[in-house]
Amino acid sequence: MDALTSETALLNRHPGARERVAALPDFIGWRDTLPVVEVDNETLYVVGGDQLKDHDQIIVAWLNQFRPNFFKGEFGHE
Amino acid sequence: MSESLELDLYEISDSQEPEIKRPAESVPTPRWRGEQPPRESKQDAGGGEVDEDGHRIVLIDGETFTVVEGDLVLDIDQKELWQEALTIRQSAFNNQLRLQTAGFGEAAINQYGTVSSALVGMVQDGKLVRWSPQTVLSYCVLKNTFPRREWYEEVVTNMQLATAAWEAICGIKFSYVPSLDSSASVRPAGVVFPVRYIGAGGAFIAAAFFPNDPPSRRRVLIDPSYFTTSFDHVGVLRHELGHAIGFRHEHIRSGAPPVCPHEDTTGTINLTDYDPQSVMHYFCGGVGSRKLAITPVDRIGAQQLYGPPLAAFQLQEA
Repeated sequence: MDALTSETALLNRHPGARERVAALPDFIGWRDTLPVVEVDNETLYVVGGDQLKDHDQIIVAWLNQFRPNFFKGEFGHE
Repeated sequence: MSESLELDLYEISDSQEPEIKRPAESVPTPRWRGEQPPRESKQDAGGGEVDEDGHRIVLIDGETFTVVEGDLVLDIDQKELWQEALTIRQSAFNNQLRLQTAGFGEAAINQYGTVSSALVGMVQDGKLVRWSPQTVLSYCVLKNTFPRREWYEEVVTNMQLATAAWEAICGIKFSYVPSLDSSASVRPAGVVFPVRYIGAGGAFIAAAFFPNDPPSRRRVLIDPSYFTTSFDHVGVLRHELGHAIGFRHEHIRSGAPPVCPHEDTTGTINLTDYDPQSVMHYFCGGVGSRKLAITPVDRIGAQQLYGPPLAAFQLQEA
């Protein structure tokens, strides 16, 4: 079994966060601007021109950039 | 290759006049350089008068002096200059301490009190991300993924040049394993990472991985646009290998032109001076270079992670 990314480990520690962010229109709008590639049957998003990230990684990247306080208070204000 | 493919690498037209943001000052502006607050004084343990910083104040011929470092008697202007120098030294010390704590060893401090290095490193769980010492980054170039033999051959040659460029400036070691080039697997055992062709529709020219990515993501991918781009082809691989050894994009730093693409900077560490010519900088906002060459500043930054090139040592067997 492959090692988890640090982003997946973070989201696993916060049950429900992944689904909550994935449903946010702001996140969906941002995600939809990213080019998508399929590599070895895995969907990856191209961030910053040449960095490939999976769905968990772009959720955390979006939170870091646009909702840095999301995990404070277990995302109750989102 | 179409021009739009170039734009996917965030080439921004020079016709845009970028507003260059100045990097944040590495030394905080001392309080006394702004509006001068009213000077306060109080008594020290021996009954003498001290200023707000706890330095003894003496009155000589009607003029107030501050005594610092035991025997230096300074007037108000001299005290400000002394305080400024002290602040710079303290900032330099803090930088050095931070880097040493992070495992950089002793960092070089220049005359401005800042660490003379560039590149944006990565931090995870409070520690810098790099390959373990003694790691040999073995790779192969998967011949069967390339639709044209000459494309495969170009990538083989350019990888050797790009890996040699990094090996020449810091203590990292790559090893090409051509015997695995014909492997049927896209993830052949026996190498740390494969280099392979993939039709990504111009979503990138080439893409790599970071040292802390899962092993299954360790690969360098080459899009067809790589073979027609006006960027230096070896330079593109130098840039991608920079990611593979732990460096993030230089243009995500605060000193970069605002038109350069933004990225999440969580988990990065700025090792100080911004280098617009860095191998890790895109061609954006009128800075960066299509050569994607490793600059002298890149070399200093890379050596902070990996030390001097291994060829610089006279290695002795035990």
